[in-house]
Amino acid sequence: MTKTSATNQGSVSLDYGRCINCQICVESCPTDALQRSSDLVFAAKSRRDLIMDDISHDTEANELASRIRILFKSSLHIRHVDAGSCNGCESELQALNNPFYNLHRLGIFFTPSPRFADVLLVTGPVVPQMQEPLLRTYEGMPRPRFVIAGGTCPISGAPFDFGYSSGSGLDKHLPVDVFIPGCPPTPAAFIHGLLLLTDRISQRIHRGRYE
Amino acid sequence: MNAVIRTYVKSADLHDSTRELLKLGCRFQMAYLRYDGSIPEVVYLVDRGPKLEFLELVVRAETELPSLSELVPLLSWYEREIMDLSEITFTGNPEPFPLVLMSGMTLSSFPFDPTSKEIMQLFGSSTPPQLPEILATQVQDLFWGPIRADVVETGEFHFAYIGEEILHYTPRLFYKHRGIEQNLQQQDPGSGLVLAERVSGVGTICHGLAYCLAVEDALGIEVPKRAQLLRIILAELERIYNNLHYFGMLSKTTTLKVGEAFGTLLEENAKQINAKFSGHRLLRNILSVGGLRRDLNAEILPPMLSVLRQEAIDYLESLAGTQSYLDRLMGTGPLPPGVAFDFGATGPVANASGIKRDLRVQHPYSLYDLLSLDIPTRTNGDALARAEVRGEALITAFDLIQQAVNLLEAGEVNVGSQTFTAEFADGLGWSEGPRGACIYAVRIRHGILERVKIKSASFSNWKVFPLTVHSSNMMDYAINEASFGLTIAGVDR
Repeated sequence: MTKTSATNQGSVSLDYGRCINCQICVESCPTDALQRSSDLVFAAKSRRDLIMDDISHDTEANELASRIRILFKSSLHIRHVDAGSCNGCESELQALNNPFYNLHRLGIFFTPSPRFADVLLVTGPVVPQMQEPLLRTYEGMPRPRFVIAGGTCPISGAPFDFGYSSGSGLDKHLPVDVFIPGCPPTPAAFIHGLLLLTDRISQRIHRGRYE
Repeated sequence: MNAVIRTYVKSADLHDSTRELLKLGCRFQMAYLRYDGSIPEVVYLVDRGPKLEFLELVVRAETELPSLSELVPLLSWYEREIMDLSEITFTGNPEPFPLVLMSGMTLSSFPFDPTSKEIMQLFGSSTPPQLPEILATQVQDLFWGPIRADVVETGEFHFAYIGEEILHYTPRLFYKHRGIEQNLQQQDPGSGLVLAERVSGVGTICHGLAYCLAVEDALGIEVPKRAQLLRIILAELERIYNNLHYFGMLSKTTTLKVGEAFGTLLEENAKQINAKFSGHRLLRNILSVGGLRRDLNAEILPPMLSVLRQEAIDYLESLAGTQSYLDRLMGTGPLPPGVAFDFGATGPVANASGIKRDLRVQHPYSLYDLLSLDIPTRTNGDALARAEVRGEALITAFDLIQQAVNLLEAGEVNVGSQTFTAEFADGLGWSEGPRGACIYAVRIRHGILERVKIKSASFSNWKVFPLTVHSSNMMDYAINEASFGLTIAGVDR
């Protein structure tokens, strides 16, 4: 079992490709969610088949998450954090409040304090000197809370994913709910991502193919 | 074209050489660390005057070099950056503490040495910054940031204040230092542009163009005339949307809701024109080393821009007729000419303080010498002067585009499939962006980039800005900051 997030609230996944059958996870599980088993026939043709992601594979949890997200569809408050952006994404995020896009009409607002925020919208590759302020902002948010990676940098770090002060993306630090690629994403792309978060619009890309 | 002449000096003679250059009216532009083989050297780039070659004052770097900050205050931040990223110390630097790397952060080894093969990493956790010691008990401390209200870039500002009066102001930038100069090392000169365009998102063209010009200077590439004129058009389109944004923000900080809405709407119109013309709202992915990646149809611009130009004129006129707006700008954050010069103010900030400098006129590039262009100046150096200079630069940008469109003739827009490479070459490129002078110095060895130094306009103007904040008042801070029109990405790199 690996904890994939730096915070206590991260998603948990079970990776049988790292399991040495020690069963310590069963003994230490605080909610008895894990049971001892004697299944030994675990061969798989794909490495991915050995990993259980709790959220993506559990339909009940998915439904609950969706019901929670829909509650935010008429009022969503965003706290933006620049974690090493070139200011291109900021330029387009600021444009969301201009009279042409007028984000307010969708019930979506930027908020000054993380205490009032439902969504953490992060730009930039998450460079070393921004990790701490970013995590502190996230910790200051009430639950339920969502995280959006806005732009290509916070998704993968590219093109700033090498060098002494690089970052390799937001999901190394926080559980991400929506990824919005683009360098920068246009305001329309940002709006699509925000509507996707609250299930007000459907996803257009599946397995790298645009539909 | 030889953009640079080079002089070597001994560290003991550095002060005398500097005094001599200052006496001649030369202006230092930047300082950076470079390697000659395995020998580190510090390079001071000096502007000798209009249309003269730039001067490179080179000193072999010893572990200790005399600081030039007392003579040339604008060099202080460059020296501190070198101290952060190497083993060199500048004795006599008035602020010898970390700048680019936060206190508490450690670099596993130093970048820029081309013989080093180590993979370096920045790690640690930051500790509070060095601040001036304040003994009086009534003085209050306010830390604002690094994450601030609204959609803004990351930066932390410290105010020491009594009541409304700010006694001392310290910006703590570089939270989002990306180490781009090191990222550019070992890149192919053609692909380095991808990073240069992303140093400052709203300065895509001024950074991209200065980078291209530097590489073209090093490799001896002659860019076709059509491409040069189209580059002017792109650069001026960047100036238009940035300046419209500027007035939107200035209206916002002076609490003019309608003015803000108009300014941001006009900025949006400008960005949409950018997209129709170039395919990208921020004008990315069109420049290339050797010209442009593809031809652009500039004929679509005049009809769209003439509408936007008139709207911009009307907008500026209504701002100029708004008493509450003028009241907040007049006398706010004055920057005296001498201070502006010594601390390195550039672009509209310098022009507003009576310094008539603009690279498009003084060191014309990319055929700007074919166009007629006046540098707007003011002498007051206050927020209103900065805004007025920006307003004139905005309208001039429309006119420059029209002039460039008139000169356009059919032709190639890049050097085609010719390949250019160099065993060893240095190049210097520059552009006057919406915020001022942007300079790139490149060194190419065995066909790849060995060292790239980036001087952004905001790096210069952030150095100056705090001087206008000390002894001003809290209510004017946001207005004063907006009147400088700074970016943080450009400084932090």
